[in-house]
Amino acid sequence: MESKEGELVSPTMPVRAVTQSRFRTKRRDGEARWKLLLLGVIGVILLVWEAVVTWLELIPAVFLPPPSAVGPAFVELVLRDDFWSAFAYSLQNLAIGVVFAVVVGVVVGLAVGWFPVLRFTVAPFLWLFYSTPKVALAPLIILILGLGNESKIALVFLLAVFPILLNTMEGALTVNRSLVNAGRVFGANGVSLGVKVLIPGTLPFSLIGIQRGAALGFTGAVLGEFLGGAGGLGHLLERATFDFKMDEAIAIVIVMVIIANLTLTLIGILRRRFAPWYDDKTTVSAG
Amino acid sequence: MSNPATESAARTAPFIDVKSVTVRYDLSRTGGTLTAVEDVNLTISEGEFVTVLGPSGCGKTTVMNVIAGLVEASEGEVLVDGRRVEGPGPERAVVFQDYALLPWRSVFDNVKFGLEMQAHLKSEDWRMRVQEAIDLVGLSGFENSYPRELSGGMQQRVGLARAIVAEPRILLMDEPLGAVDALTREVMRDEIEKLITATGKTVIFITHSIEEAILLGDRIVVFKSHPGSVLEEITVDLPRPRSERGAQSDPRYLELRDHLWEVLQNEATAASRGGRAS
Amino acid sequence: MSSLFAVQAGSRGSKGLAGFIAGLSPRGRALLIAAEIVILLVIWQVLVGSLELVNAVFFPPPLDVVDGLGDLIAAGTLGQAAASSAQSWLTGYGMAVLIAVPLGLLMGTSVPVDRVFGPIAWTLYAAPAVAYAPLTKAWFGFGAGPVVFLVVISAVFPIMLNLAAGIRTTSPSLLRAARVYGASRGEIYRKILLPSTVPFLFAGLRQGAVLATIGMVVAEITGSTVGMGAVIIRSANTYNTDQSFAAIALIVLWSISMTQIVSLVERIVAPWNRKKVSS
Repeated sequence: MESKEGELVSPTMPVRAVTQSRFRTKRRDGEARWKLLLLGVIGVILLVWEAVVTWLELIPAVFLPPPSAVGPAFVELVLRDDFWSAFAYSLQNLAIGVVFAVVVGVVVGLAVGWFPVLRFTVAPFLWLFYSTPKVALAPLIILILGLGNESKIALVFLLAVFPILLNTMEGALTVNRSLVNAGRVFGANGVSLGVKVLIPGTLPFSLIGIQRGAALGFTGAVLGEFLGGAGGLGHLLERATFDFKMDEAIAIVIVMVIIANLTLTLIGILRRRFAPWYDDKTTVSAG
Repeated sequence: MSNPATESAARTAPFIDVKSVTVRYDLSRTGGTLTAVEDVNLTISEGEFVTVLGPSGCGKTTVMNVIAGLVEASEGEVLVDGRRVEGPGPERAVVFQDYALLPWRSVFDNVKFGLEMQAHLKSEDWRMRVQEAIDLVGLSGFENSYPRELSGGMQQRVGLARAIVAEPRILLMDEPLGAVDALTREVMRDEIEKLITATGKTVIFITHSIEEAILLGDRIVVFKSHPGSVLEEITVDLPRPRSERGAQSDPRYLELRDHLWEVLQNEATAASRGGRAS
Repeated sequence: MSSLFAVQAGSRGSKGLAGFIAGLSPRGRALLIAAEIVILLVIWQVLVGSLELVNAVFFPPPLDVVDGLGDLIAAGTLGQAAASSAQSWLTGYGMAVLIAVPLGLLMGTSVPVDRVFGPIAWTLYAAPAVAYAPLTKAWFGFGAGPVVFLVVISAVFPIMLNLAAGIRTTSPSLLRAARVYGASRGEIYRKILLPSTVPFLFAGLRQGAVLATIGMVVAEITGSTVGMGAVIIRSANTYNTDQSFAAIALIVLWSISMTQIVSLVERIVAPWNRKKVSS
């Protein structure tokens, strides 16, 4: 039932019959072949891109520089000092904001999930905030907190905290329903009940929330940099497009895509490391 | 309809003939293979009610799936009425353990599903046939309910109605009462006995309940696991209907039960010691 | 902390306030929440408006926000901005659905497409759409073009990936049942795969609607001169934050309405899948 909330489930199926699947063609060749095919397709996409821009000149290279221009621009970019200071600036704001969001999200999420009074009174508001496009508050946050780090950290926090909070809440709720009684039967109580049952039971849910929260937080960091101040990758990107250096701009976008995916992968690894007993399907990710 | 199994099997060719069927699965993770069932031979005559008894994961469902045409045997073959099974067919219906009802269809439309893809809808009386099947399993009045609104027992009644609506000659039942609560289970077991023995269908009924195996079967096929294969076949000579005659106090019933209990016990001990062989 | 854990877990029966609330009917709970909202707004009004504990420019009290809305309407810019935003949103969302549904169906049913296209889609989905905002301005100028683009790119992946996941996770026993009762490949697709995907499709559509609104706002506040986002920026820059809040409130209303419409359509299209009231 939970999975219909929109959780995206991993496609791998562990066992497949040798001759069973007539509906899907039979295969048991390894992952390597798919990786190769994937690389091939990416190669073809790059080639078509190059062809359309450079050889056929269907799109002016000023608007969409071909891979042969973006590649060198990327290398040039990562050799620059100001790139790395912008990189550090962005990631620092992201990290601080996410840490705050984790602390607040987990504590409040546990409390709301645990105490029925809070659940009935506060939780509806939290859901409401959760589905609110909080990016709309960005200009006001800049106005209130200024152009420095504070406004970016606040934006990261604001965008990251709700997924963490609500997933933790759902986790605590689930644990509350199923595991706590089991824990009490075996004599766990008070703190030990919390340490042995509630926290490990909720952890996988929180980690899912942290994964989504970090992704949204990155949006917050970059958006904050667009809107004001003179630091960070967002600012660098804005300046590049302003000067119409599209090759550099695309290179920066690629860097951002890499950062976002690395962050998700990293938290995904943490999730498998600390909560390997949980299946993806059992966690919620509404909205 | 007392016990035609032994007589007819001796005279004619078997109705269902499972010939040295072996099924192997590839394990994509490790690259090895798992032998689910090995060299299973089984003959069943028309009108016979065969219960297949064995521990969980012993491959009895796999054999049923081979007969249903859902799984292809790696070796061996299954003949039904002399013809080789190449896939599912209208003469074989299946009742699934997890009901496998379509959640987006009402009870009526779920039962209709058993008819609609076999061109039966062209005949004028399909509505009547669906309704009859629903009445037969005791679900009159629930035609417009969705599966999620029904209890497990009622859902399985829908599964049963869907299976019998097209009047198949063979009914394959894969632990149909496995997910139903204990009380409903006994009631439905008795109903299945009456309902199906009256129609003279050939039934393969998979179960891990010794009681069900004895009370329903003309014959019990006991399976062992790792890999799955036939351990023993026992003819049940208790008079029918067993549900009403207090068969459970019959000394023959008790004898059978103790015997099966012992066989399964030995098998379980051996299996847990031997682990998984392949 | 320890007191937090010491609470009796099994006691969600009939104790105290929680028990009272748990015993309320859905309508009673809705009333309670409505009452809470009113109380919250009153407190806000008193703290900021009357007692002036916080600078009213930062958190304009509710009555000021109402005034701000009045000002926006009086200035005559609101209707145009709202229409522009709504148009961009609907165009972008429609395009996203048109792109995502066929691709999602293809990904869900074809293993090669899934294995090759899937990783690319996931990678792009993980990347913040905000990153494309400056590029789109260079490409499409400062009008509605970037807004539509960001709406499309924000909404397309959740719809597509949910749909594909829905097809892939179709219960194998339903597929078996369909084969037993004689379904052909086409019938399996039509009668099993597509209907069983409907809840996933709508989950994706809901997620897509939320993200589309975020994409729209991001595009509009990062330099586009059109839409509600531009209204927020303009009013914030002139310290008319009451107007900003009014505009934000309208955007929130839009976002909630769109997700509610998706849910409403789902209830009509898929009545068998009535949702438990969770959110």
